[in-house]
Amino acid sequence: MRGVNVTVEKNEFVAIMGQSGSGKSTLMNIIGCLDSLTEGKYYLDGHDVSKLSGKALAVIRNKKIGFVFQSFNLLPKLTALQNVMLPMTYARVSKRLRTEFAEEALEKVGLQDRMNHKPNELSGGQKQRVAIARALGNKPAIILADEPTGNLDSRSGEEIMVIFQTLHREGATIVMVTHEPDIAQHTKRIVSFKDGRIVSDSPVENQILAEVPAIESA
Amino acid sequence: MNLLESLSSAIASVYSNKMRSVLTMLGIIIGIGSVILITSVGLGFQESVQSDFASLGMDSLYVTVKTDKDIASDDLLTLKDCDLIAGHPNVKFVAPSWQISIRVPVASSEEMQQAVLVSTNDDYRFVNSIELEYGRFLSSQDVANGSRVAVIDSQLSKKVFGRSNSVGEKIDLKLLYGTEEATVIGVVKSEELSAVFALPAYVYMPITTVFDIYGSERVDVVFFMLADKDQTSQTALAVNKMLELSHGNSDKYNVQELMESVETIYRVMGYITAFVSLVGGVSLLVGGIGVMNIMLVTVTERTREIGIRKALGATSRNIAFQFLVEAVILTGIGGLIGMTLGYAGAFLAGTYVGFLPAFSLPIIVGTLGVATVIGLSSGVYPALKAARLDPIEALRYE
Repeated sequence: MRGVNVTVEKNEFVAIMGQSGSGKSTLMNIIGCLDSLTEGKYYLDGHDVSKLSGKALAVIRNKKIGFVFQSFNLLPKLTALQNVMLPMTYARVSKRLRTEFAEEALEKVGLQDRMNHKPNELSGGQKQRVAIARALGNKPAIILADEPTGNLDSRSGEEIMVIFQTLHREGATIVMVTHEPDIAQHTKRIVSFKDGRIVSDSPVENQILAEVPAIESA
Repeated sequence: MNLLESLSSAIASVYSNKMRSVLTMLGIIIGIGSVILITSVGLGFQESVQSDFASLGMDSLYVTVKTDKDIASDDLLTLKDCDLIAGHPNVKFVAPSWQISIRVPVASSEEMQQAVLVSTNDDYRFVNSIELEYGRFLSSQDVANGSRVAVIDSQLSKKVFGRSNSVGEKIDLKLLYGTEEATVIGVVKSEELSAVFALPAYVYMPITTVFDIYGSERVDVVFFMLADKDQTSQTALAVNKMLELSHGNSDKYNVQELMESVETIYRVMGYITAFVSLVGGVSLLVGGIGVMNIMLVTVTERTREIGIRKALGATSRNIAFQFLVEAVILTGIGGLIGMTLGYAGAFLAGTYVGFLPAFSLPIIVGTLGVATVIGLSSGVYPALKAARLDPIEALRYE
């Protein structure tokens, strides 16, 4: 990846598109503070984080970034509620508060009656919603979603997009990697990558508003 | 994540892999269990022996004929030897002892009570610290006259007469060749129901009386007590010499302190304890390696989990701590199980042999400490390995 210069403003909803090997994963890892830059600078929430060490990066990931992964990445032995509480546990939020926040977040994604289920008792869409609730826990500066609908059927994918659009309306900053153009059309801006370079960066003309396919909670 | 939460999540993780966890703990369980078993049995034995011997005159010495030599009848100990020993200026009390097994009919029933007849003299009371409960002990007069008197212990008194004070009663003593009658002149305190040596009921009679009945002259043991205890070894040597001179033999007698025989028991016990502890130690070492091995497997298995946790903000220290706590929980629980089994085994062995194992707080604390240290040292490497994982690689791990 070279010569990449992207700025994502607060409360933006950006899709990053590109083929595999185009560099979008590397960019995601850098935005997510999982990887560090060999050259250049990265400002997150106004702070230069490109020179930070492992421990400081862990704290940034914890407090500033909410990850949503393609393969959900829930811990299989924890319940939905415990999974959502996990980042707050590392942030040393008191047990009472973190239970409260986690319940709130799960309600927000429509899983109030699935809180004590383990991941293997949930559908793919529900798992991803737990993951989104988890990402919201520490009120992150940015929500980073890596192909969040990649493992979901279109109906569940649509549900996820409803949630993202709602969050965005409420002020969240969301960066989403996808290779599905119609999913990207749900965002406000599309940045396309090819061979480690940005080939286009433009606002979305006709944003698709996700239809609520009557969130089934069964 | 605070300590309590780390503990509960580690316990959950250990519990979710029950079979593997138990197998992993096995080395620790066996190691800790065997150390606990042997030390508690050893200590219990020691305490029990100590209380047994505390009631005996521990300062006493005793002479026996060596059993591993060719013994002629001239070499045997007699009452003359007692007088000889009494002649030594540093000897205060001398008591011969000749013991035979007898039966005593229980009054008003057909039953028989086993007892040991100790034929001795009035000094026996001092060399073996006998405590009187009723009446009196044998007197020098009884010995001189060969009186038909007996001192019995309260255990026997209760059995035979149904009460502790049986002074003045006639008691029948079934010997090998018939029944002899004697008058009870005193009741002495029974030995506490002793653990290591199940002590029988005792009857004491003047040795002269018994010799009359049996036409015998030989004495099993001569006990004696010294006026000046600092001279113990010299006096013991001198007594040996006197006996050899008088019998015209050499190297036929043992002169020993009661204390010495106790110390011999302790020494043997010490060797056994050391040996078993060594075996336990080896088992702990192997157990520790097993724990390390399983922890390494666990780290590999949970690479993805580690990646997720790191992405969500766990620091390397959080991760290292998590695995370290798990290792310590494994060995800690193993230690607890081992300790429980060890004590259970000790109790079982104890009831079988007849004494209680000793609980020792330092040993319990020490054992758990050792288990923790093993957990820490075998957990460090896997924990560091987990902590050093690159989150991107770890997340990609299938």
